[in-house]
Amino acid sequence: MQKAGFTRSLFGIAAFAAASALAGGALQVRDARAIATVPGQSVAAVYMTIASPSAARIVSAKSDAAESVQIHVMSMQDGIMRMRRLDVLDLPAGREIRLAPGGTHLMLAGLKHPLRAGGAVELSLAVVGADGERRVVRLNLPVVDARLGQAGHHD
Amino acid sequence: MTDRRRRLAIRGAGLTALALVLSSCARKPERFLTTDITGVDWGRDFRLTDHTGMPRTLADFRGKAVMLFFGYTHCPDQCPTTLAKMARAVDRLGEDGKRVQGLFVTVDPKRDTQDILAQYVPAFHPGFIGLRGSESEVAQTAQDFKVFFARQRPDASGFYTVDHLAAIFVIDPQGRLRLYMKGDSDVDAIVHDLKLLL
Repeated sequence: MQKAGFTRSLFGIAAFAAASALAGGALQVRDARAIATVPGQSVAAVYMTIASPSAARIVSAKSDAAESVQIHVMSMQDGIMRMRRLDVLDLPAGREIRLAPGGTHLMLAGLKHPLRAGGAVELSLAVVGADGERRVVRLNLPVVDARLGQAGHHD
Repeated sequence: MTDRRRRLAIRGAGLTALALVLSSCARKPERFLTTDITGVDWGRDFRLTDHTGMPRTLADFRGKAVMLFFGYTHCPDQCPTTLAKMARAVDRLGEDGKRVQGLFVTVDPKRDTQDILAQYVPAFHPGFIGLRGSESEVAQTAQDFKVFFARQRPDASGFYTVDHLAAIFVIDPQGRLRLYMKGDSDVDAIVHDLKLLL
C-alpha cells in the first residue's frame, strides 16, 4: 500500500512539475500553454487545466512578456461573442478548472514581443488560499501553434 | 388477366413508382449545411478601405464567392479560430479556392489600424483582405449586415473588449448575400457549401 502511494505521489510530482515549489506542491497545473501570435496581434491566450486540493483563488497574474495578464471569460450566445474580465478565478477544492478555447482563459495583453511557436513565456499566478496566505506560482509555458493546442482541428 | 399476371403488373407499377421517387430525389438540389438566407433585402454592399489603403465595395469582388467576417485583432480566441477555418476552407477547395475571397472587417477601427490589419489578415491566408473605415463607416456596414457589436468600457489600463456577432456571411459570385455560417461551423460544412455555391 505504502509503495503504491509513494509511486502515485511520484507520478503526481512528474505530472505537475510545472507548478513551482513556492506553491508547496499544492497547485496542480497541466497542459499549460500560450498560443503563438499572428503578426499584428498584440494579445495572446493562455490555456491550462488547474486544480487546488484546498479552496483557493487566483487573484492576479503577470508576465514579463506582457503589460498585463487578464482573466477573461468568453461566452457565445445567439451568435454574439462576449468577453468579460474576471477579477479573480475561484478554484474550488479538488475541482479541475479548465482554461480552454471558447471559455475561460488568461490573456496576455500588450505583448512586448510576438510569441513564436516553439518558444516559451514566463507567467506568475498570485494565489490566495483559504488560510488567507498569498503564494506565487511561477510557470514556464511552452508557446504552441493554435492548431496543435486544439483537438479536432487538424486537417 | 390471370392472378399471376395481375401480381406482376402491380409489382411493375410499384417499381415504376419507386423509380420515380428515386429520380425525383436525385433531381432535388443539394441542401446547404449552413443557414440559407437567399433573398434577404439587406447586406447588399459596403464602402470601406482595405489594408493597403484602397477603397473597396462589394462589387469589386464580383465573380468570386465572398466570405465576410466581422471581428477585431484584440480578440485572442474566437476571431483567429474563425479566420483560420476560413483559410483552411479556401485551401481545401484547391483550384476553386481561387474564386473565394476572404474578407475581415474590423469592428475596432480605433486599435486596428491599416498597418495592423496589413500584418494580421494576410497571415491567415495571403489572399485575404482586411477592411476598416471610420467609426461611423464601420457602424454603417455592421448595421447593413445586421451585425451586432458593442465596445465595452475600458479597464484601468485602457484595455477594452468588443462584443460582436461571430458569424461568416457568404455572398455569391453575383453579389447576392446567400449564407449565414455560425461561428462554430466546421471546415467540412464551409467547404461543402462554398462548392455548392460556386
